[in-house]
Order: sequence, then structure tokens, then C-alpha cells
Amino acid sequence: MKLARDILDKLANATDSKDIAAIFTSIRETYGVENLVYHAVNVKGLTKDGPFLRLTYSDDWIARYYEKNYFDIDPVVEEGTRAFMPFNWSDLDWEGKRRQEFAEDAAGHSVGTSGLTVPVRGPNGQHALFSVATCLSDKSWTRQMREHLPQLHNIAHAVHEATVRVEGVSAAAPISLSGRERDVLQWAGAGKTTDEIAQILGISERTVRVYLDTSRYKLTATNRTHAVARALGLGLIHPPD
Amino acid sequence: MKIRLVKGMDLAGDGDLLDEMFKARKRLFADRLGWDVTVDQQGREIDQYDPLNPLYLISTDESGAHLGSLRLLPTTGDTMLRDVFASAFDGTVIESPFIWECTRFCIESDKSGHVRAGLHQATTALLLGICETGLRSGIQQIVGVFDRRMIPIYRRGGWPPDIIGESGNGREAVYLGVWDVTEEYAAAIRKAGGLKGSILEPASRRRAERLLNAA
Repeated sequence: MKLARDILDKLANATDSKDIAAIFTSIRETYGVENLVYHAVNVKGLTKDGPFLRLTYSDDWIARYYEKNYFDIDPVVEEGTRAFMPFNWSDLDWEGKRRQEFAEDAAGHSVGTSGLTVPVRGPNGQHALFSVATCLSDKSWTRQMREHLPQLHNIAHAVHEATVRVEGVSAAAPISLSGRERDVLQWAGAGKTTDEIAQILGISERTVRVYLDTSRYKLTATNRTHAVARALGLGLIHPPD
Repeated sequence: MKIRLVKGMDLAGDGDLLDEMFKARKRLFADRLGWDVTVDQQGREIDQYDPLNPLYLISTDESGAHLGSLRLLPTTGDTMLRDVFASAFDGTVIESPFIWECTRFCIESDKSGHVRAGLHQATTALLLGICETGLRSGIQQIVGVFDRRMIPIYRRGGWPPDIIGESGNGREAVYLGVWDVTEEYAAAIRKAGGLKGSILEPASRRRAERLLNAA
């Protein structure tokens, strides 16, 4: 959890593509995955001339992929353009001659066909994919990734936001929280439980959880404590007495 | 009665069912409720959120015909609540991969199966469908934009929302509600609707599970 926090904090502070490349390395080390792909499918200002990619595959494999036009048959790309929620590559349709050849070719280039893709959807139709890939194909990897999935979900969104920001696509809007979001985090920072915050603010406990979750997402935080820490760091709430 | 999960871009597999749904929406929202919605030449009600590849939950009868449906979109993308409730909900933009928006809840009341406790069976089936999809995929909360007539329906269906926002007046008034996705609520909906076991079609159950556990 702490490692995910570090990665999210670094992404929030990344200012250029070198920073992101360095963070990709720490993501690979942290989660023991061989390769990462960030693939912007549709992001205004970034994908005008085709998809935007940041990947850690070897130049050989990238050249091969383009030469063979694997974009057209890669089941990860196909599913990724439709999916909303994370998917496991082993659940995809790898049948058919061209796809089998693609899988074999990938294996020949030491590129795994085991992996996980997290689709990212943003405002104005923004759509990107973040994938982790490995040569391992055993079930234990899948199980392990299942455990990491909530963190990877957060990281995928943070990678997207960092990329959009450093590529200068959208003016870097400062993180802002609504009054209620700040109230809820302020009380959470003072050690109040969800139930107590609900009573103090005179709203339902469920509504408190909405505010906690939306602020956690805006602050790219892994949990409530992390969200409080980030809000404090950004001066959005006051330090508790 | 079962619930099928259909993605907006599954036109090849489920295009006819989606067409039935868009036509049923036209009959309900345009003809019966008189909402200011866009209807195309084929008599389908389609708005700006339908091209965003939403997840539809469709209640079908034994022959596979449409009885009722609704639309789910992740709140990290474009949503109706962002447009309608940007300022009404205390200026808070609801955005989270774990909170999804439900809109266009539509029941064909003339053919939606037997009525229990004043509810069509398709209604409780759809409510259970949302809850089960959430439990299988890791969605923790659902927010919905709905009109006044839905409030008692959700309550009788065993899954009352907290109403956290209100916009517009009179017949055009819409509300913003939030639901928790829990096993307890799934059980309460089953009880209210006299339903047993999973309401999702086996393939849709797998589809929800393949979304992996995102929570």
C-alpha cells in the first residue's frame, strides 16, 4: 500500500515524460511485471494522428508489431476499445490463425501474453488503456494481480492524468474540492469515523462515503488517510489542532 | 425472467435487443411522460450518452423480448449528473471509478410480468441486476438521476436511495439519489420481488465477473 502511495505521489508531481518513464520503472519493480503500456485511444489533442503510446517493450518488438500490423488483430486492443472495467488477457479470444501466430511471435520476442488492462475513461470522451504484462502465465500471477487491482486501478488513472498534463493537452487545472468534500476530509483528519462525520454535518453516512470517495479520486489517493495527507499537503484543509 | 448485460457497442450480437430498448424508451419518455427527448426517424430515443458505450441492463422474457432496461456509466467519464447536477449537489462533481451512474430506467408496464406489492417483476429484476453487477465487478455505489415517480418504486423494491440533490420544477423535476451496493440490499430486493438466486443470465454473470474485482 505504501508503495502504491509513493507511485501516486510521484505521478501527481511528474513534470515531464522523463519523470513518467522513471515512474514506469518503479511500477515494474514494485509489481514484478515485465512491461507496461499506456495507450491513449482517444484524447483530444493527443490522438489526432492516431493512438498515443508510452510503452516499455523493446524497439525490436515495437517495430515488429507495426510491421505486421498487429494493431488490427491484437485482442487486447479490440477489447480495450470497448471495455469499461479491467480485464485479464487470458479471458480474451486468442483463437484463429493470425492471433495464434501473433501470440507465438510475441513469445519468440520474450513478450508475454499474460497481462491485465485497466481502461480509463475521462471527461470529453477521453479514453485510454493502461496495461501490465508478464511472461509468466501461471494462475498465481492472476491471483496476485487480482490483489493488486485496486492499486493498479488508481495508478492507471494517475498515469493518464500525468500524461495528459505533461503532454500539455489540458491546462493543468489545480485540484479543487467542494466545500462539503473539504468538510468531510477535515473531520476525517481529526480522526472522526464516517458515522460521526455524518452526524456532525447532518447528512447520511452514505453521502459522507460519496464525498470521501470523490475526494479520494480527485486527490489520486489510495485511501482516506492518504486523501487527508494529500489535502493537507495541498493546503485544501487545515492541519488538525 | 433474466437480466442481460449488453455493452453499447455490441451491435453485432445484441443490436436488435438494443433497438427494442431504444423504442421502448421512446414510448415511455417521449410519449407517456412527455419529456423533451430526441427521437430519431426509426422511433428510437437516443441521447448524447448512448454513443459512449454504456453498459445496459436489459430485462427479457422467455422469448428474449425487452421488458425493461436501464443504463450504467462510470462517473469518471461524461455523465448526466455532471451536466444536470454540476451545481445542484453543493458544487461537488461526483467522479470515481467505484461510483457508477444509472439513468433511463424504463419499464414496459403493459408487458412486464406479474405485479407484486405494486411492482412489476421486471422492476425488481433490474434493481437486483444492478446490485449483482456491482457486487461482481467491484462497483461500490450507484448514483441515479430520476423523476419523482421512481421514488416509491425504489423503496418498495427493497433498495431505497438517499436523495442528495434536486433540480428543476414540476413535471420536469429530477432527483439525484445514491445507493449502496451490498449483499444485504441484494437480499432485500430478492425478498421484495420474490426472486431467488442470481437474476443475471449465466453469460452475463461471467461477463460481470470478467470485469474483475475492481474494489
